This record gives sequence, structure tokens and C-alpha cells, in this order.
Amino acid sequence: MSLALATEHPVKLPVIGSHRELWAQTIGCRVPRGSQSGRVDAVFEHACNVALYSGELVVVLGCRAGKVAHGIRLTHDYRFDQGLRRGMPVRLGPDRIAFGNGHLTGLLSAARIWTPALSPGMFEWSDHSRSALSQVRDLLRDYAASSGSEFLAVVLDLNRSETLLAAMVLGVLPRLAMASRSHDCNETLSLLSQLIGLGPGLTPAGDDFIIGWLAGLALSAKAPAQLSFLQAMCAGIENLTQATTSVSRAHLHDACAKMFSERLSDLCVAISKGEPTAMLESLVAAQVAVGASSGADAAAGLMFALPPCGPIESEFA
Amino acid sequence: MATLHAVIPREYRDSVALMQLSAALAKLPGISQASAVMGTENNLSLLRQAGMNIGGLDIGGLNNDKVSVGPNDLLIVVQGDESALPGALADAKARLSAVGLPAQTGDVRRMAPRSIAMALAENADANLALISTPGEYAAAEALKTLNLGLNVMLFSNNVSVPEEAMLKRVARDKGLIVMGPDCGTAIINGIPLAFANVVRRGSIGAVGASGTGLQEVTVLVDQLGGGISQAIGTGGHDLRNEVGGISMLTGLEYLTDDPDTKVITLISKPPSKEIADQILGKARSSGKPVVVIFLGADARSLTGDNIFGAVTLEDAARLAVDLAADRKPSPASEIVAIPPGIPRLASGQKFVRGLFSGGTFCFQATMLLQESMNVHSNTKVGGSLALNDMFKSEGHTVVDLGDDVFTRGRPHPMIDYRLRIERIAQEVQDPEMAVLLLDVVLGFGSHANPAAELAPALIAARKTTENNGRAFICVGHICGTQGDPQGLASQAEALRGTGMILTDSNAQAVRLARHIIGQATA
Repeated sequence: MSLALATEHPVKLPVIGSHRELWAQTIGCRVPRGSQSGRVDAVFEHACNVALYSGELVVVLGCRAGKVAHGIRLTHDYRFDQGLRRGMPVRLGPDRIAFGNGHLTGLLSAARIWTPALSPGMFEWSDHSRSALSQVRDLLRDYAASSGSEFLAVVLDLNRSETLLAAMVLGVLPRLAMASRSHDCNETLSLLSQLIGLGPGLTPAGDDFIIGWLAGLALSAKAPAQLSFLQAMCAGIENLTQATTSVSRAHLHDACAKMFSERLSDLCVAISKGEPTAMLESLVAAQVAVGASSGADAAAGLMFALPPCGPIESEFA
Repeated sequence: MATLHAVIPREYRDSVALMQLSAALAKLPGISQASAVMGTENNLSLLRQAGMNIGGLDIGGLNNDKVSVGPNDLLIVVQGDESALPGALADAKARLSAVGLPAQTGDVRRMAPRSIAMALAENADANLALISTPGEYAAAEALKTLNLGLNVMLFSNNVSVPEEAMLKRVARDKGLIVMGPDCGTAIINGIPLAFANVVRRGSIGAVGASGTGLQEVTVLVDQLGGGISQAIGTGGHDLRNEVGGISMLTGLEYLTDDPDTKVITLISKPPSKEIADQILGKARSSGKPVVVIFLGADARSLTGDNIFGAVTLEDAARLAVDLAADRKPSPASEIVAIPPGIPRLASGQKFVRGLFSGGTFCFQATMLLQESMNVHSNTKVGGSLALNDMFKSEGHTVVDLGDDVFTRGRPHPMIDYRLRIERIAQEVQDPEMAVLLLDVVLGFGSHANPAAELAPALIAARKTTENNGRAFICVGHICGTQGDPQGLASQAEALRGTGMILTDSNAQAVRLARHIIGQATA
């Protein structure tokens, strides 16, 4: 047999276009349109951040990552850390996003525009949604320890570590619950300012929690007072974002525009629709798998905003 | 207890890497506490509360006398014995460099090859090139590659048949093979190329002119306990008269000469008699058992001497495994029992709707369904009826969603489930739909998590159907193995969780769908 190959290791080959030309599957609805330039701001294994000279940040993701509103997701996994480097020039055009000198090109022409499924006020308290919420809480309990999320431990009232972060979270959250329930905008924003940029990680845990909390607020905001509180929180949080990393800031901007990540949105929608257990399990697992503890921290924020007994009563009451 | 810190400007690492770094530093001798965090104000406040002395740090450089740190800077703080601190910080920086990008750490990266010739100069032992360029350039690249003495796997489509014939003649004259054009799958020496599955190595060699047909056979061989020596794709036009089956004949020669191949399997749609005679003649002279499946051809007319005709892809795999194990070939099984507990169809629910990502699965489904019903399809098989509108089903309909009509400007349906999900939502609106028939293809190249895309769509489809007082029955099969990146078991579990009935093969799924319709309309 004369087809012996030089390598003995299985290789995963890109199957469309050349080695550095990959199709994009989706373009987030907050990715800027038109032609722009920028540079690679950060490179990770399965994603890379592009800082556009207009000041906006676009994240390009491999197919295993969840979609985000300011992100372009490719149809394939790609080792960004092996192909790109920080500072590399990037050109974003209507039909492609091109990195460096042909290092990677994402073809955008076949990608659909992705918009999160969550829309404000879609949550209805019913037996189905209450049951789904309860199941999600139980599922998150199972993940609490392994996720290392101090926020999740506090929100679910589990055994907490004796870290300063845990103490700080425990000091802030009960007050945040009361302030937000009474729609006290100033007090709520003051407490949120203590969480923003707080904690380990590129997207600090406090920011992830706030994003989840905003998702919960948006999901259940129906009455005029709730909607105006939500608007005030979004505007206020926008003003706080300078205190955190630019990567996290982009996620917070999305959240303040009520554009939450795919995984968080899908989980919210599933709870509100009272989807079956199997689906909730897979969605919770997907959410918790985001980052080191980012997914769990955001889930904690969501649970914090959607207390088990309904929108009136709260465990911190 | 002393504290020392370092600021690394505009350094991003993902959360996992930062936490691992913190944990690793805290374990160093003489270090009691360590933290690697982004330099946000709240994180600085937290570090101060933790008793870590970072007094010399200032947010945002507001005070020029102090070292500045910002939210986009990485801050590493270590606390412990004074003598251990500089070493710990040096260790932290070394760890960051070790996992960092070559360009960031100052290493010079060699320029990646820009041509096959450059790649060959770097790897002189290579003897196969996979070409995946737009079709208009593919033939020229393939010709250059052949002239460099390399075998070619030509993934590109839109290469004309005369160009294909020319390339294959050149390859034959040089003792090489061209797999393709439009060759979507191959497994060479255990290495999956393009769309291919992770299968056990063994003594069954296969040559296939149909991509998903070759995938199905290799997967079923694996599931039946056999293994694959080589799986050689030829491209779907290889057996046309103009091309003359050159690659299938070459592949057959390779497998005949290959000491690791005990049984050969040939997979194709039926060729012309002239080409069939050439291939069967060469197969007879191989001296090895050869299983032949010319989908839609009369299997009995193929059988004789060392040739074993098969009706379905599953039969072909079963025959090959039996022959490789020196067992008497087991008879083809056509009976598929209806599993208990499936819902009763409402009156008016009478049609099968097959939505396939694999062209050969669509072909085989059309072929098998036609045994007892009239079938509309965009794949012409025997007496199948054409669809008036490919985007709208009529009667029993089986659609190959990989058809150019559907994939123009978008990825193949094995990668992108959008089109199929939209079509499922469309089908369930039709009160005459009785059974939804699907395939799910795993392996390299395919969607990373098909069940995550399909499951919500199937749950929604079930709800829609049931809300309208109808039954939702979805039957399908997964072409994949546990070794595939997606994992067969987890995909199957997720899909079964939606109520989807999974069978072991495409043929079984089609026969089950046919059986369900037959019972309901009896």
C-alpha cells in the first residue's frame, strides 16, 4: 500500500475552503456592520477578541463556544492560540473578517444573524415554569462545588468557603435583594458597584453575576415599575463598566442592551416555558461549562433574580 | 509575612488559566497566598482586605508616583517568606510564557507553507495532499500535486468531469491515485480525512464512490466488531463512463496488494454495464472476498465466485465482517419490529418525510421506501417522482439536504443544522405527515454537537404536533462511533430523550418508518 502518511496521529482537518479560510455560522446582532479595521486584542484557545478602532470589541469563537451578541461564531473549532497573535491587524468587511496576512479568514456570507431568544417580560409564573425553576436550582446545587462559584454557593445557601470573596458576596447580596425588590435604584447601583470587576477571571465573577441577574430581571419585567427599574439598572451599569476588563465590558454592554449569551438566553427561555427535565439538564450543563466559573456565576445571578417562591417573596426577605 | 506583586500590562488569560496559575503559585515553598487577577478596583480592594500589601499600586495611573494598574492588566500578587517571593513571581512569568503565544514571548514563528511544494519541502516523506480550494482552482492544484509525486484527496467539488478524467489518467500513469473530486471521506492508515469516523483498525478495506455510504459501512463494520484497513473515497463521478472507474480500480489494486486487507468492500451507485464488468472482473481476479454494493442493483446478479452482492449498506458491512471472521455470511435481515409505546397516528397522518444530510442515505431511503410506496425525492432513484418544489414536500417525500440547491451559500447540512431544523418545523405543520425520518452523521468534520441542535427542534416539533391532536413519530439513525469527537452514546441519549426512535442503521430506520406507515394504513 503506497498511501502511508508521514504522521501517525489522527488529524482534524478543516473541511471547507483552505486551511485558514473558515465559514462563520452566525454573526451576533451587535457585531458592527460595514468595513472596519482593528487589531487582535487577546487570543485564547477557542476564541479571540478583536478591538476595533471604533472602540467596539468583537469576539470570534470556535463552534464549541456559545454564541454572544458581539460575537462571530465559526462552523468549526479552530485553535486561535496557534494561528493568531495579539496585535495582529484585522479587517472586518461585509463578507469576511480577515486576520493578519492571510492567517485566518472568517467567511461571513453564509452566516445568519443571531439574536438571543430571550425577550424582556416573557416569563410567566405557572406550575410548569415554577417546576422548571426548581429543577434548575436543584441541578445547579450539584454543580456548585465543582464550579468554584462563590456566588452560586451564597445564592443557593450552600456550604461556603471562608474566603474574603465569599464574605464580600454574602455581605452584598442580601442588601442587593432588598434594594432591588424595593426598586431603590441608587442603593442597588451602589451595591452593584461593589461587585463589578470583582473576583478572579478575565470576566470577573461579579460581572458574570450581574449579567445573570440582569437576565433574570429582564425575563420577569412586566409591570411599568419593573421595566423602568430594569432600564435604570441597564443605564447605571453601563456607567460602571469602566471599572472592569474590556472583555467583560463587552459582555456587560450586551447585557445592558438585553442581549444575553446564547446559553444563558436558552436557559431562561427553557425555564419560562417549563421545558422537560432532559432539556433543562443539558442547558444547565452547557451554562455551567462556560469559562472557569463564569457560567455558574451568571446562573447564580439568574437564580438570585428569580427566587423560587415567585417574584414577590425572596429568600432574603 | 511579606508581599510582592507584578503587573503585566494588557495581558489576557482565560479564567481557567488564571485560577490554575494562582493555585500553582500558592503551592510553591514559602508562599502562603497567591493571586492572579485582573487589575480592577474591586479586585485591588479585595486583595487589600486579604492583607496583601499592594500599597504601591494605583488604579489607572492617576497618581504618577505609583505603579499603575488597570482593569485590562494582569496583576500577580504573592505573599509569604520574603526570600521566596521574587522566585515565585519569576515562576509566574515563566508559566505565563510557557503557555503563551510564540509571538508574545518573542519566539520566531516559521512562516506557514503557502503551497504544496513548500509543504513538501518541509515534510519530504509526505505522499498525499488533501486539496480543498474553490473548484475553479482545484484541478490545477491537483495536477501540480500529482506532478510532485503525491497522491491526491480532492475535497473540492465543481471540477468538471473531463478535468476529473484527465487528472485520474495522469495519476494512473504515475502510479498514484486521485480520491475525488468531491471526495468527502477517507480513512488512510487509520487516519480519518475530511468527514470520517473514528473506527477500529482491522482487515476490511473499502473503496467507495459515495461519501456517506463509505462512512456508514465503516461505522457499521466497527459496530459489528470488525475493523477497517483502509477506506478509499473515489468521488461520486468516478464510475461514469467518461472517467471509467479509474480510482475504484486503482483502490481495488491497492487493497488486493495490501497484506493487511483480508476482505474488500466496493460501494457505489450502479455503474454502466461496461464499467461494472471491468470492476467485477478485477474484483474476481483479486483472490480475496469482495463485497459489492451497487445501491439499487440486483444483488443476486452480482454474487458469484469470490463476489458477494449486498442490498443495503448494512448488509455490506455485515457480510464483510462475517467474511473477515471466516464466518458463513449471515442472511440479510429485513424485518424491523415496531418498538412498544409509540403513539397512534391520527387519521390523515399517512406520509413519511425524510430529511437527510447524507446523499447516500437519501438514495438508500428512496430505494427502500419505493419497494412499497411512491416516493417524491430530489434524488433520482428508479421510478422515484420528482418534487415540484424542493422546498415543499408532497406525499411520501425524501430529501437530500446536501443538494446544491440547499447548500448554495451555506455550509453542508452535516455541519449546519439550520435548514433541517427549519424544514422540520415546516413538516410538522402538515397534518398528513406521519413519520419524520432523519440521519445524524458524527465524526470529524461534522457538527460538534448535533443533538444540541436537533433536540430542541424535535421537542418543539413534538409539542406542535401534539397540540394539534396528532402523533409525533421521529425515526432515525446515527452514523457514528463512540470514538468520534461527539461521542455516540451521549448523542444517542440526548436524542432518545426527545422521544426519537433510533435504529442501528439507515436501512433499519427506513424499514421501520415503512412498517409504521404500513401498519397505520393497513
